[in-house]
Amino acid sequence: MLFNSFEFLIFLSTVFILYWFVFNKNLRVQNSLIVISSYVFYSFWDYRFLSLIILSTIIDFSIGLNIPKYKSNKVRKLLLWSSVIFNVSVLGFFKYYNFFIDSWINLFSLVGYEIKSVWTLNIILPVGISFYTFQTISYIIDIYKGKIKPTEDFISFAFFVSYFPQLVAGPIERATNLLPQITRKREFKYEQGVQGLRLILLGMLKKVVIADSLAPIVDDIFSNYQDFDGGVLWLGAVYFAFQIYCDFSGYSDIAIGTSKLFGFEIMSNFKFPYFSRNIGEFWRRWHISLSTWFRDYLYIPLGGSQKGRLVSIRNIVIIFLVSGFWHGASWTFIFWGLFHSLLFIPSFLLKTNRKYTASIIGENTKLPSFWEFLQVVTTFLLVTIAWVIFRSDNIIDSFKYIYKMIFEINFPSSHKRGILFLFIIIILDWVIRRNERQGIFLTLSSRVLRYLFYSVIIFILLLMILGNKTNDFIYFQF
Amino acid sequence: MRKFVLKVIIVLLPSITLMISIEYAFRDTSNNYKLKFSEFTKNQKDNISCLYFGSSHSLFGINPKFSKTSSFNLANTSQTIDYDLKIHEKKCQDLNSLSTVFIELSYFSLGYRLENGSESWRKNIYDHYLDNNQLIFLSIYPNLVTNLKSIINYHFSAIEPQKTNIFGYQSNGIKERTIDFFINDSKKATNRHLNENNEVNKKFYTEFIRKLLLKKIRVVVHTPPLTSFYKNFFDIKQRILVESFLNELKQEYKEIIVIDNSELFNERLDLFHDSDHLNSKGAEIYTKHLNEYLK
Repeated sequence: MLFNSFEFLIFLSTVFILYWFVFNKNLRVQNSLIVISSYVFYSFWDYRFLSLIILSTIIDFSIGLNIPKYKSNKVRKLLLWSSVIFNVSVLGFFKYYNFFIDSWINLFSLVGYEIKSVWTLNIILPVGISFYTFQTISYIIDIYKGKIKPTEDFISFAFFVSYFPQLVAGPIERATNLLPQITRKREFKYEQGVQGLRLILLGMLKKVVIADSLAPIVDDIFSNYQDFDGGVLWLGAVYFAFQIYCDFSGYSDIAIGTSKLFGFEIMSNFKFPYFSRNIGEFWRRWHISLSTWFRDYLYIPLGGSQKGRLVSIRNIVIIFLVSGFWHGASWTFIFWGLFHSLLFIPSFLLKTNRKYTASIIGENTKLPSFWEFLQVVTTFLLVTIAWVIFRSDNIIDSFKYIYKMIFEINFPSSHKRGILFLFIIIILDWVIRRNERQGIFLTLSSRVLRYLFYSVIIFILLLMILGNKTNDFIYFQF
Repeated sequence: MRKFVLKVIIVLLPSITLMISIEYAFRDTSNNYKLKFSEFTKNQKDNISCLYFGSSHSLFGINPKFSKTSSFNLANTSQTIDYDLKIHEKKCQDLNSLSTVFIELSYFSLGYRLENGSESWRKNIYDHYLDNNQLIFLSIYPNLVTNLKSIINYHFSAIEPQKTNIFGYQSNGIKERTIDFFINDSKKATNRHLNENNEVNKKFYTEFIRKLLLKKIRVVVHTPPLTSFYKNFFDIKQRILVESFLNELKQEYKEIIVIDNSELFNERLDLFHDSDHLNSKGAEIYTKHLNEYLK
């Protein structure tokens, strides 16, 4: 079930009514309703893979309960690794099995051995597997490190693993944030509900109007890139940068907004990443739940930046490579990660990567300074080149695309109709960069104007959603 | 909570009211589909002995006014063979005098599927008029401004939208065209018209032919006239596919007439509105030409 579908509107309204009007007296029943609803939500894709979520829930719940019971570090470590190995194996089988087999076959064929591909299987990638496995791994690690106590309530844990707003494309929640909210009695707060609706509306606007309008133009340019001049290829790359941003951050906004409707606050996933002044800042603003996950559960355990320069550089390359590989079983994603590590290392060596940790561009001014503007444009262009690698069908195509972008650059001769959408999202983000995202609607101080604005957006969204003019979210494939 | 629910209703109400109003206005507005299905079913169904199906090539290319028997043109822009079949099944079952059906098989129509192209919005209109299960309102998004304008014009200024004559034919008029125009238009049209759904459509063609033959109706499969520019620019593989399918039909159904008229007006650019559509003069001549295949 897609957020941008008529089925979801019906589903959400039904669950909301049952949650607040029918089962509001008993927390456990309310939580059970969310678990059942989440399973129904997931079953709309493929009910067979529900068994994977349930299996993962049972195993990690049991392991989590048992870790604190043992004093021996050996046993605790064994339990930790059994959970990690189970989750990584499930993920590895469904997501990477064919990739490894094909890569071995290709490697052998390079040295002259032709092997028949009898080992590759017709495996379907279960939606959301990369997200919920990371969530359960972090739960077990946090228990092992003593950061949290395991929950003894199975329903609460099942809720944590399968919570439908963020089940299939994140944000990858932490038990430290979500579990206490699950076990606490909830009351409907008017302001939180309104904020939630505003976020859902904004997310839908980004996804249905901007990302889905850019999608066909991007598809056309990337699939026929040989036929276009460098200017059009630049447009294609920039359009994709905004398509993936609006698609994914739109999904996150809807997930956060939906959670607010049920009385939950889940973590932010995007903070205006294209206003970043260097690559370090970009990674603190893009897919925050994943980048902080890798920081906390991979980079720091590897030694982070505390064990000398060489080890630090090795760690940076590792987390970027793994981050790329997390996105999918393809060399394009691995090269995308590698490219980002190459962009990040100079900034690390010059110690500028920790600059701008708290501030945002144009913090106290209406417009950015010339220097800020130059920094933002440079960072954006580098990130955009990386997106070409990410979006291309294969590495060779991405190199050819980038070659044409750089060496055959000129004024774009066609495909200019997407530029309007770029202006819309840039202005939108600029206006709200210092506030909460849903604040965009509050910039209209007149209530009548605001309601009129809501109505127009709802009308357009209904038109597109009911007319089936919407696409899948890009991050569902990861 | 009550305040919240009330606010949600207040926010949703204008959009839903607007949607319902547009739906009603749309249903009330004259359009080609409504005219064809209602005029056809109401006034002429007892007399009609010949029907022409197809896409815009037939809509603009065949004027039943010049047909020697009582005929009606049921073609429409981007109408694919499955919709021809559906229209026949839903709207033509009580045509007792029907003796001949013309089916278009153009370079475009063999590969094209309505649901995949930029004209997919028309699907809602067909579904509405043929199955009564779709809101027409949903079809307006791709042409939001044009469609809203036509509703306003129709209801407030009494301006009729462009429509067909009583025989289901829509005129393109006659415009002076240069050779360069035809060349440029051919390039664009042939790119736009190249699709690869041949196998799906072939099944619908054979199903339609079989159903007509069972009713002892004469079937004429024809490729409408094209300019030589259009034909030459068209993908060679697709051309061969169309030609071989025409031959297959000829071989398999001895009782049907299969004619390739794509080169019929090769030397007559004055009969074309653009690279692949006839103008009103061309439509008159072509309809008269098709008369020889009527029962």
